[in-house]
Amino acid sequence: MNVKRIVATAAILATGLGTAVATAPAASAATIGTCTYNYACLFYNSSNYNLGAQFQHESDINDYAGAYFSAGQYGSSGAGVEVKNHAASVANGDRYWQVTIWERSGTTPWGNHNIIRPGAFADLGVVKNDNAAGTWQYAG
Amino acid sequence: MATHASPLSRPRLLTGGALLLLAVGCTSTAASDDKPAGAGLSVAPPSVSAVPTLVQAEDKALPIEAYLLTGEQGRQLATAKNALTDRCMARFGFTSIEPPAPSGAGGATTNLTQRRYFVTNATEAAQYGYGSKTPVTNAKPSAAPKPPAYELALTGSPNGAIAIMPGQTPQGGQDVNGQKVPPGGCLGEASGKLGAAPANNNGGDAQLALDVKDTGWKQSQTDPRLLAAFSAWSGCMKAKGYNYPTPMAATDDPQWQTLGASSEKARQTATADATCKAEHNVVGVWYTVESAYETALIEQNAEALSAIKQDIDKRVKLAAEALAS
Repeated sequence: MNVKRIVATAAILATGLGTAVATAPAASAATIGTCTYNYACLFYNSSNYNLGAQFQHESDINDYAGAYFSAGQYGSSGAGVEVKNHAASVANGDRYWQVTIWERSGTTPWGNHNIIRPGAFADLGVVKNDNAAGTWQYAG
Repeated sequence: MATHASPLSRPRLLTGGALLLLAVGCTSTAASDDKPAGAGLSVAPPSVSAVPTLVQAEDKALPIEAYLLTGEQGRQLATAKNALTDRCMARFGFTSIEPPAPSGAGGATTNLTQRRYFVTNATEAAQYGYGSKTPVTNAKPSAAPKPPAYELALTGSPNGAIAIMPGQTPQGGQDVNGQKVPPGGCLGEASGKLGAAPANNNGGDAQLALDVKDTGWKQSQTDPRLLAAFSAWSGCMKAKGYNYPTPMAATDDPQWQTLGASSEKARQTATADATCKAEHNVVGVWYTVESAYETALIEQNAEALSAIKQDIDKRVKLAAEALAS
């Protein structure tokens, strides 16, 4: 874990201050630092490691490049790290829509995917760090 | 949940992960999490008796799908949960103020083999390249801000926070319109009535079932039989003037970002891609090998997966009862 903390810190320094957040797609308007109703919440860590820093969105994101994890009530591990290919778990705070996490980017991505049902959670397990896009489908 | 790591595989994985972290520590690249759930699942390359010839696999199911919620089950559970949530909210004097369902409700359903093996339909490839004719989304609208009392009754949290992650304690117990808010609000109450629990990721898919699916996917891509098929595909592509080691490399070619996924060059490349896949039965090999890994992993975890299947049946029954009452 020490190694990891060093890497996360290095990533924060590498991304610079301010520019990271300014370029993030679909910046969240909800309460900062919590996983909020209506949103998909991506976490830097798995549930085994207390989730850590988070990023949440309520519309489709066809490429998580340019989005960054922020520290919140689930911890700061991974804060400042780019969301694309660095998430280890996902929660779906919506109750009508399922969110699909794709390993590749695009409006209709190719390859493996994970569907997080409304109100449910998932650790990404061996496909952690393979998250490139997140799209919503109505399931209510 | 039981630990599935073998005594030998986990330390090796951890060491590898730590070395990787050290190696990339000076760059902005970081790997999340040293020891994710499911990292210990692994099986030896399973034997495969026969490989069918397949151009596409979108109408085929993978073995693990028997232990994952189907699209229909997912909709049933969500519909029941929303009905129970709305009934609970009515106790507090609230009617639903959620956005209406999009036109074509039910949405673009996805199944596991849809788009799984990359470009496989030469006719569509000639038209859309590495893009697609139908986006897998219904364009979810932004939620309107909700009155604080409504949000509190719904979630149990004054700021709409959702405590659906393992280890999180849902808030509740506040007074709204003379009624006590249940833990996790009306959403928490509805989930509880439908059997949502840590064992099913709070009403979703059980972690072990997801891990089997994702491990089979990963392991298939290191299997010598699939690598041989990739190699044959690569030779076929080269003969047509395209130089890629694997179908993933063709899909991920950075030039599609500048030229466009449906540009003329992308359409030509994708057509060759699908044609070479068909010529060398890449989809048949991939689907068969991945299925074999899943079957072996399912046998390795038969007891736990049997319980997962029973849990799905139980939740679907609870949902049907809730909708009937």
